Amino acid sequence: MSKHGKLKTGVHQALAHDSAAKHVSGEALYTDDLPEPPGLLYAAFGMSERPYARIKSIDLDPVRKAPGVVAVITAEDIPGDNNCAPVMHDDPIFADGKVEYVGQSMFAVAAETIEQARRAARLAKIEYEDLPPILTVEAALKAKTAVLPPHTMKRGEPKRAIAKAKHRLKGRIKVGGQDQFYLEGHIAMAVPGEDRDVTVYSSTQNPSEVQHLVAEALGLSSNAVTLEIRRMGGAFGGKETQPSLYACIAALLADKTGRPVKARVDRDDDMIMTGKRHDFVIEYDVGYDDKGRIKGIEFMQAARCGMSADLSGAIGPRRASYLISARPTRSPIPPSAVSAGRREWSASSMSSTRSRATSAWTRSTCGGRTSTAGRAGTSRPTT
Amino acid sequence: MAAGTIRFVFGGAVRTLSDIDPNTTVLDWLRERERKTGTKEGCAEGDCGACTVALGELVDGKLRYRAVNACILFVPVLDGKELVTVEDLRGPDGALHPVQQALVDTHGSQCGFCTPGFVMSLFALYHAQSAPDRGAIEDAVAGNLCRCTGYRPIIDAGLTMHAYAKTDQFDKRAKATVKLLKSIARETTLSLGTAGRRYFAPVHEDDLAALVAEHPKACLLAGGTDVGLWVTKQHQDLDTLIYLGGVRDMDYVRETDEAIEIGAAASYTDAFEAVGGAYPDFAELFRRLGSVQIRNAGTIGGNIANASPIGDSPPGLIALGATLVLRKGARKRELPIDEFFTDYRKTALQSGEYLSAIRVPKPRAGQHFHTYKVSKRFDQDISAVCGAYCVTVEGGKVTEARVAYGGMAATPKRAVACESALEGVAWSEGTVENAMRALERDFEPMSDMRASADYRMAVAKNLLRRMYLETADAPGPLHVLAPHVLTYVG
Repeated sequence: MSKHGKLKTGVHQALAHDSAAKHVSGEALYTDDLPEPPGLLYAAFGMSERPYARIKSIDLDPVRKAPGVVAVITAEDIPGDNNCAPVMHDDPIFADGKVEYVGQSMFAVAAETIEQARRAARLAKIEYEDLPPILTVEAALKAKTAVLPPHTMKRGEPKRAIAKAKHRLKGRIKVGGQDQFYLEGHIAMAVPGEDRDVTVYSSTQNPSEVQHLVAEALGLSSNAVTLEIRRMGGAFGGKETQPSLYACIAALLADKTGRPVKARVDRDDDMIMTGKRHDFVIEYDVGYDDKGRIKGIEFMQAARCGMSADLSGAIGPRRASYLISARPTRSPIPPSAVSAGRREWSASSMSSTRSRATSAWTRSTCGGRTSTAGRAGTSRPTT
Repeated sequence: MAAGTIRFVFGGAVRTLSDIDPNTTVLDWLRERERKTGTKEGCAEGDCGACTVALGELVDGKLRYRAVNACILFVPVLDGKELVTVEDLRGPDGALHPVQQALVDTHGSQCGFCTPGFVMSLFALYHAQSAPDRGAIEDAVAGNLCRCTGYRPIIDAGLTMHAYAKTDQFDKRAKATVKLLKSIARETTLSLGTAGRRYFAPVHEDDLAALVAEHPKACLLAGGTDVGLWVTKQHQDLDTLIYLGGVRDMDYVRETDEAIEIGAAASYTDAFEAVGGAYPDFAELFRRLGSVQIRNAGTIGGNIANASPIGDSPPGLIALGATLVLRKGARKRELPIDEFFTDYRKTALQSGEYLSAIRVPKPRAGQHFHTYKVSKRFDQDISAVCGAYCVTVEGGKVTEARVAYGGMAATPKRAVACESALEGVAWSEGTVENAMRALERDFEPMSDMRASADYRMAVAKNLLRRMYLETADAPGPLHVLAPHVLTYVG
């Protein structure tokens, strides 16, 4: 014991979560639990019913005339950028001219109650002209369509190491994608201030990014937007870039109506609208000795990234880095790489896997002594 | 139109509501009208358990708490009951309830969003059992999803919650609560007419029969575990609702010499002991049907009358040769259950007629009954295929075979070709293989998100083989569930 007495924090102390008492008593405030400002409107979203189609016509009159509806906005009503993607600026807030996945937002409604908004959003009359979608990684590879250029990582001389090895195995693995499944669905509430300022309460892992995107959508500088987030009901990577869609919609509707607007998504719609963790196709070529020790290995990974890059530019190289630092096992087949790959699924890897699949591919190779045990793990990024 | 008043106990006092749309869910009422936001919406379809609340009811003069999903529970259903939410659990001095303190001490929350639901599921278990084992706790929280990998500490909380001082205020004020509940007990039909919608909750079956005859297009509401979604997901207007849950003379499970009779208002949980006692496979099936919250609200009657092709109780009831008592006005008729399902979501019910009771024959000598459910998740999932088999073997020969499946056709359906391949011949592997092939003549299953047509057919055949192996010398255990299956139903 130090002269200051027993430590109250730090290692070997079973500390309760600092919100534990609030969690168990229902007193912890999530975005939907905040006191609602007077005059609050509720948003709902018009979603594409087609995977890939040109919008021939869109009739929103029935939506505008529905009970309780105060405002309906489309791409044309956005004063700034029609974009909610932070990295490549390739995710429109509202589809403009064509839709590129089922569930893509096409317009938004603000109404006096959430039920009125959701009912109204279903009344749009939309004519589509279907285009041929590319739905799988295999089809995307064949069509040579990619959202990003390939990325290669290499250590040692893998081709030579594989050729020199006594045994060789080639194969192909498919790894499924998954929904992030935060228990609290996406939500944002925008409260207008003076001079078109807006305060946005958003369930997001990335408040700064959401702030910037809201400002760009409104055509304002970032200091006009204040972003607040007390806590999230889970995120798991699904609230890194994707909350900006809902925050932008809430802010645009608030800007248009001069009233506070809450954009809360039903679970089904949330699952349909938002991007998932990537699914991957992995091809491998491995050389190994009699003991099953890997001498060299080459991977080609292709991810189903969806219609836009979103965070695929981070996920691809990250996956590649896992494989290049994989710890070889003693097995004569290469599941070591797979398990390393799978480890990555438990980290946050997210991107929009939308129906018009395209591939961003990454290549990771390692060979010679750098692939042996002992060196492994040191270059693995922390999660 | 009668302007009735909903009366329920809330926060230790009687609460009355006379101006509420009967399609309003308890969750929306709590969050939007009462601004009590501790109860969360995770899915709005009774799947994730974040909205779990407890309902207190008088049963034989005693207070009983059960967990239900507030997101698909309509507010008028609260009439005559006590509603307990996560905000009510702290003691008068502000101290956390033992369940809450246990969750804090075992580090059972991370993001905290699912936590209020877990608290309420454990609260109901706390009142139901004084020393629940691990199996009972797992059953109790099988209808609550946690995504932050928190089940181990949550189960630890269930194991330790009874070690805390008994500070539960609901036990302490039980006498007063019983008095309040007695004061709001109803002897006549509750009739509501608000927001252009009607809601009736009769107390006597004769009144129900008259109401159904008078409003033949009304939606009959039992547990609401499917009907709730028509409102929350499909945005339907349910303009006239007739609630069956308050009809006392339909809320029974009783045994005669030949049969177990289940009133159409009895919940799965209530029917569990009698049906599961007679047929252990039904016990396992019920344990995997929905969750505690769903079984506490849902009814076997609703599962039948809803006529879903993937309801889990019909295949077993068809195989057992159950009959349905249908009533229209004063007239009753009895119909074999396999004649009840006429087409996709269509039944033999006439206008103004309703399902009053289910008669399940008791086990007979020489009879082998098994029913199996195959779904993607073990708990709280909808069947891809549900198979049920009732085979009577005498002197090595099959004298009677009844086979039925869910998920294989537009209705729960008997497999007559399969049955005739089994009957009159030796109960042997060869016979079963013939009967497995015969299933191809009985069914042309469809492919959907739950399973492909080929998978469904393969599973349907293999379940029959499994059934045979269970009656023969099984090479090993053929069941997934541990013997704890009966520990906690609801």
